[in-house]
Amino acid sequence: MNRRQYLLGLLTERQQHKIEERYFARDDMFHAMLAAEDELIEDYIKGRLSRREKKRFESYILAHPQWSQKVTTMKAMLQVLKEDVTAKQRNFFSVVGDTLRDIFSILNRPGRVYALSYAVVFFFILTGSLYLYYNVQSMQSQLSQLERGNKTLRDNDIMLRQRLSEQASRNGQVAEMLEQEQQKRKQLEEQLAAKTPRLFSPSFSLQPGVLRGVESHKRLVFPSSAETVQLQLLADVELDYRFYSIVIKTVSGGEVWSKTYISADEVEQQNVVNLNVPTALFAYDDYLLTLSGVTAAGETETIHSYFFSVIPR
Amino acid sequence: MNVSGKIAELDQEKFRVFLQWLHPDVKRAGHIYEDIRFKLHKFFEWRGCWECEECADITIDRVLHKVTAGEEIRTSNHYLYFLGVARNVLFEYWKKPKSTPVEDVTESKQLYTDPGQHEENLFAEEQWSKQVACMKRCMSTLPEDKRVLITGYYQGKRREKINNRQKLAEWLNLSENALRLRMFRIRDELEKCVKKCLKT
Repeated sequence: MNRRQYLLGLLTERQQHKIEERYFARDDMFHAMLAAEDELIEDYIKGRLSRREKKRFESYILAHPQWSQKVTTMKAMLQVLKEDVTAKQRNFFSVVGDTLRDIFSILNRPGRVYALSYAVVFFFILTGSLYLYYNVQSMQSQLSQLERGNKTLRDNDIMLRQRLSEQASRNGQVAEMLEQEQQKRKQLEEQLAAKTPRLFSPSFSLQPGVLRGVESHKRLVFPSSAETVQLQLLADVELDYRFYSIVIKTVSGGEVWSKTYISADEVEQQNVVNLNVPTALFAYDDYLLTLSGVTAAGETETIHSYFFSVIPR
Repeated sequence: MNVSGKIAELDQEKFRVFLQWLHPDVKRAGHIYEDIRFKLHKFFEWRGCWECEECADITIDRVLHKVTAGEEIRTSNHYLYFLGVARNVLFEYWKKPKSTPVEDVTESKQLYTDPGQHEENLFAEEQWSKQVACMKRCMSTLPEDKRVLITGYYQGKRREKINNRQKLAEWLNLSENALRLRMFRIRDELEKCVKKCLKT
């Protein structure tokens, strides 16, 4: 902007000297000054100067005969260039018009065969051009749709990622809370266990076998204070069933107790089943315990029978 | 080397010494001389001197005489030395009573008071038509590359025009300043051609 002010004589003597030293010493600065002069004249002709600049231009610059010549030359040049561009555009349309007129004049000639051939060629060219034009348009439209779709997918992806991250954070909080709850519960159970007096629960191992009087026959003698009796059923086969069921009957056939769907997880080892049975069920009698297993196919198989006698005290 | 009229009339030997002072290489010295002359001309024009050619000649003449008289000239930059002398010449020009009648100046100023009426006031319709016709003729004599260049340079409005100029500079592998200078020269060429055409 200083260059323009320099040209308009709006700078102080000192500022003028500074600019002059720069454009005398450096060619690029001098070229920039020439360009500024060019642009100033162009802006004046096209009415793009501010009021102050315009006034100054007219009083200071146009008074100079060489400048006035420059302005006239530039104005004439811009007009010729404008006319030239307009003429070229007009020329393009007139060429198209002339071509079409030529085609129609050929069609009107007496030689119908030529006329027909030209017409066919023209028709194909026209159809081809239209086809190409519409194809390009359609492809552009598809492209912009795809771009829009792509953008939507990207947005959704970002949104889902945000939600997942929020969910993960929430899950983390829940897991933490659960862990705290479990710890509290464990502590409470430990406290409760410490306060609760241990109940006496006699334990017996039972060997498989159904005949009385053989080695497998077990006598269960437990005090009346015992609430439950722990039975450990030993098996001489591998216990690999999905579920287990137990039925305890008196030797006369009356069912005393049963438990079904004991899961494999409850079987501590592969050949031992542990169970707690309330002592209140038993009287002074002989009992038969049957251990059955449910296979993966859903069939129930009897694994072992255990015979034992109960002698309460 | 195209040496201007007045200097050509000077003593060839003095001029040779002067060029030698500008640069030991004669060809390079010739370029520097032309360059300085052009800068002086523009300096006087931009500072409102109506007799730019004469003032530029006086400046060169003064330096030339100092150099050939064997005066010691202490300067790190020849261009700045010429500028110093040119300022003195300009100062003297301002002090000198002007030969141009006051009426002429007033008339000249009045002619440009309104750019909208510029055509009507400065030139009669006929003169303007002649000016445009001359410009057309001069433009048609320009080589094709220069015509394309000038058309491209002034094509478009504001931003579009700036972009066009950047593309032109890239296309010609020139800096924007070099492109402006090239345009300035083409316009200068046209201006001279139109002046000549109007006289015929």
